[in-house]
Order: sequence, then structure tokens, then C-alpha cells
Amino acid sequence: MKDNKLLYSWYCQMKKKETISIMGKNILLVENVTKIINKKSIVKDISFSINEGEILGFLGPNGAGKSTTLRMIVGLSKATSGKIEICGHSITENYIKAMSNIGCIIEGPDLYNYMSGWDNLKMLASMNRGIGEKEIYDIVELVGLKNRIKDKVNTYSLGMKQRLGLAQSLINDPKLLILDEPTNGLDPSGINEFRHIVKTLAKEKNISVLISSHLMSEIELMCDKVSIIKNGTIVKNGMVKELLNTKEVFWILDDNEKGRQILKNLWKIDSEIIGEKLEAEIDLTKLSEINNSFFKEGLMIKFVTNKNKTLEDLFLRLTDGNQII
Amino acid sequence: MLKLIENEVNKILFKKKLLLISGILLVLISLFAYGENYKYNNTINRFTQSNSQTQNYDWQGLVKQQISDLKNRHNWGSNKNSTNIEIERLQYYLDNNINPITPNAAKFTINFMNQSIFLFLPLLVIILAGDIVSGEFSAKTIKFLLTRAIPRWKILLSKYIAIIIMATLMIIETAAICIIVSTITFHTGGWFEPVATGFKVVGDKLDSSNVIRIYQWQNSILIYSLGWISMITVASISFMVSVLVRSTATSIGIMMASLITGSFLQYFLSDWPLVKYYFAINLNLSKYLRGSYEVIPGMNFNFSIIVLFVWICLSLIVGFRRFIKQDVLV
Repeated sequence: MKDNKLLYSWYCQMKKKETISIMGKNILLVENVTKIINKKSIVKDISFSINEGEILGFLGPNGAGKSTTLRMIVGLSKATSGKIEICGHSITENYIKAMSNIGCIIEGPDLYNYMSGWDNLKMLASMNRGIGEKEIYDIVELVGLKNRIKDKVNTYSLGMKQRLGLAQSLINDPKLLILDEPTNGLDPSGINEFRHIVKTLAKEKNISVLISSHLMSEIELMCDKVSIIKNGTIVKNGMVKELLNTKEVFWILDDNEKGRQILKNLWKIDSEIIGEKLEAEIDLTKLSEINNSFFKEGLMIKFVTNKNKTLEDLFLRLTDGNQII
Repeated sequence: MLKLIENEVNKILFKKKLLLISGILLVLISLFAYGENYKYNNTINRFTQSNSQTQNYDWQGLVKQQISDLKNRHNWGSNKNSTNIEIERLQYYLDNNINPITPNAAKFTINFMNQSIFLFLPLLVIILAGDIVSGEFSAKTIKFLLTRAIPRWKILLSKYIAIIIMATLMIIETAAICIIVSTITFHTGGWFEPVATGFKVVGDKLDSSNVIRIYQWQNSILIYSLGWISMITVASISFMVSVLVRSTATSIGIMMASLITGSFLQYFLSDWPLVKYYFAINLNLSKYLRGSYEVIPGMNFNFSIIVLFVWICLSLIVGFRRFIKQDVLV
């Protein structure tokens, strides 16, 4: 009995050491990865990383190399060169340890049509150790499939199949979730629910998520970081807040021209009149003082607001002239 | 590993393939049994009609005549062994009051395997094994198998073992259905009849020196084990084709075409020595024991076993290598 206790405490210490050492590392590290198929470079020298609990949006026009990259990360394809590491384990050298930390949906939730959702999940769970029926049931409840889980998959709608796909990716309790276009086919409430689930998983269970999607609005709401890929290379890597931060303000005054002159003379700020709007780039802390100066000169402010840059604008700008090579 | 194999077997069972195969076997075996019974009854009727003196078919006299003929030829050296066994066999019929041409369960079961080992049973195996990997690719479910924390070779090995288990089940099922149907049709077992086996063809002559006497039930186990070896070969090659090809129809089509080519090759290109290395020609292992005439020279039992074994090994090497190295683009 004593030996068992010692062994157990030693085991706990080892587990702790493992967790501590992971904290310092990236959950996902992609470095200088290239993929050449038939002498064409599909993916050229891309690098990005994800830390614990972060949600990374992977964006790009069709044919940019998103799916290829995701396939290389999970081991379905082999990278021609470069390094891919999950929690410090290389996908090529330490495949089992790397993959045991990943749950993924790649290009569609294709599960066995002739079996029920529950059988599918049980079968996939049995390939890992120590996953009991209770855990599977909890995941089924989380994705909202409780009522239909015992029906055959070929009776499911696309939305249900997507939920089942999400469930199977969570089966082995992964540290990194890789979701390739996971909201394809979900209705707006489904997309909302999905966003909620993913954010909860990331914040509460500290799971890192890599989402590839076309829904700019969703990515903006969900992700902490984005990587934008075009023609196989990364054109932008950054935090969402920074990329969308803007100092542009626009007013609708009853006399825009006068407002423009006030800005120039009093504040030394260049501004533009576009249509009925007066646009300028200002330090936001001074906004109320500027408004005050308008009022003092007798101007009426109909409308003043921060000009919102959307991710879609940024995306389209960065990827304009989109040609699939 | 065991869990993986269990999953694979469950998937095959779910698709109800074994049920289909059992259905086909049941229908065919019943037809054959009925046909054989019909033929036997016809023969008896024809004989009794031509033999107008007696109403009964006097087979005992015939058998006694055969025995005395054999005893008179007893003196020849190399055939002594087989002649003795033949005498013993005919004596058994007399002693147990059995008409030698009566069909019985044992003879039917063995005959069925002899007739179906080279074409019919391989076709059934191809249906079972043809889509074990290509089916996963066309349904895109292979993505889920390959994104677990399990190396690719283990996944593929579990699939291979699953189809071996299925093929073995099929052989056992064939035997069981044969025995049941024929016992119901013919009412006699015949499992303890002595029979001679172990004939060899050396050159152009029948070499009977190594012939031994065994009972029919032992004979049937022997023949069915040879059938098992042939089926494992067909299953392995089917498996390899399933890995190389993406569509199930192509996989089954290629295998069936290769099998049927074997029959043609045997008769049309029998002069070409390379033909004897083709797997489909070496599937008929049970004919060697009966000492039947060889169409292509240089083939014997050991040769065929070795050729089949080499085909199994090559198929596995090609299949595994391709599966482990390829990029999965579905």
C-alpha cells in the first residue's frame, strides 16, 4: 500500500512538471512550412503559432492553401519542409504524442452513415483509453445533440452532422482544436451557439483553437488572433484588436466645411469631406474637446462616431486581385 | 489493437455483407444438393428400368466383382498401396451395406469445395474484402480514422486482420451450410468412410506410392484447410487493390477480372512458362491431392503453396507501403 502511495505521488509530480513545461511552450508551432505538389508550391514558407487558450482565425481566399496547411498540421499530408510542433512534439517524429493533443474537423464532418451518432462516437472513443460513456454523454449535451444522438447519421441534417463533428473532435480531451470551416451549413442560431461553445472551451478549459472560416463577422467576434494567407504565403499575422483599431472618426455636421476649417486652424488636423461625412484621424482622447469647440463655434453635430474597420475590409484589401494560381 | 479489430469487424457486420454472402451460399448449395439428388434418383430409375429382371439395383454383386478383380491384380508393385486401400474401401461398402454411388453429406461437402475453390468462393471473398479501404476513402471517413493518436500501420493491420477473420468465418459457414443442407437432402453422413488421398502426378504417370488412408471427415478438414489458404491469398490481394484504388467498384472489378483471366490463361497460354506464377492458376490446391492431370507442366503442390505465399507477402508490402506514405486528400 505504501509503495502504491509513493508511486502515485511521484506520478502526480511528473504530471505537474509536464503541465508547467507546456505553459512556457506554444501549443502549436508552425515554422517555415512548405508544401510542393507536382513542382508547384502550394504553401510557401509559412510560420505562425498559437498559445494556450488562444483562438486563431485562419483566413484566406479559396485556393490559398488553408486546407493544405491544416492537413499538414494533423498529419494527413506530409510537409515538404519545415517544422510543425504540437505541445513541443513534432508531428513527424512523435506522431502519437502530438496527435493525442489534437481534435479536428477537416473539410466536413464525414462520419459513418450507416451507424448512429452514438455508435460513431463510441467507436472513435474506444480508440483512446479511459473515455467512458459519461464523458461522451457530456460532450453530446454540450453540442446540443442529446435528442437525436441515437439515430443513424444518414438521417441527420447538415447542421446536426456539424455538431456531431464537433463532438468527435472533443472526444479525446484535446489541447488544440482544429476546425476547418465548422459553421458551414449552420443557421444563425447555430452559428451563435457554436461561437459560444468555442469561446467557453477556450476560456474555461484553456483549449487553443485554430479556426479556418469565411465568415468574417464570426471570426471578428470569436478570435484573438488572425493569420491571413494568400497564394500560399501569410500576408498578415496579428491580434484582432490591433488590426481593427482605428483612430478615424467621422462627423455629420450642419456645415461640414466650417467644421473642416475649425479642425485645421484650431487643432491642426487634416480632414476630408466625403459625401455628407467629415472624416479625420484624431487622438480619441481629444474627441470630446473637439466636439466642444464645434459647439462653441455654433455648429450642430448630427452624428459622430468612430469609423469601424471591419475584418472584411482588411481581408479584401489584403487579398485584392484574387487569382487562384 | 484488439479494440481496433473489433471496430473493423463491427463495421463489416453493420454493412450486412456477411448476411449477403450467407444468403448466396444458402441458395447455391441448396440448388446443388437438389440437383445431385435429382440426378441420383434418375440414374437409379434408368438402371432399374433397363434391368427388367429385378426391381432392385443389385450393387452388391458389382462391388464383389470389383473386389475380386482388384485382388487378382494385386501383384503389381507401385500400385500395391492404393490397390489395398481401394479394396478396403469397397469392402467397407459391403460390410456396411452402402451403395457406392449413393451421394452422402461427406461427399457433397468435399465436392462442393473442390468445385468452388478456384472461382466461386474467391468471388465471395472479393465482395467481402473489396471495399475495406477504398470504401473509407470514397465516404471520406478515413479522415477520422487517421486523425487519432494511432499510427497508420496499426489502423491498416486491424483492417487486414478483420478481413482474414471474415474470410475464415465464410469458410466455416460454407462447411456448415453444406453439411446441414446435404444431411437433410441425402439423409446419410458417410463421415467414416475410408478414402485414399495423396496421389501425385510425376511426369505423365500417376504416382500412388505415398497414398494414405484417412476417413472422410479428416479428408473434409484437409480440403477445407486448403480452401482457407486459397481464400486468404485472394483476400490479401483484394486488400492490396482496395488500398491502391479509390472506388469500390473498380476494386472489385479488377479482382474479378484477374480471377477470370486465370481460367483463360490456363487453357489458352498453357505453353508459356511464366503463366504458372499467376496467383489465380495456383488457387486450386485440392486437385493436387486427387492426382488430376496438370495442364501446365512444372506445377505441383509445393510450388503452388510457395507461389501463393509470395503473392500474399508482396500484396501486404505494397499495400502497407502505399497506405503509410500517401497524402490523404479527401
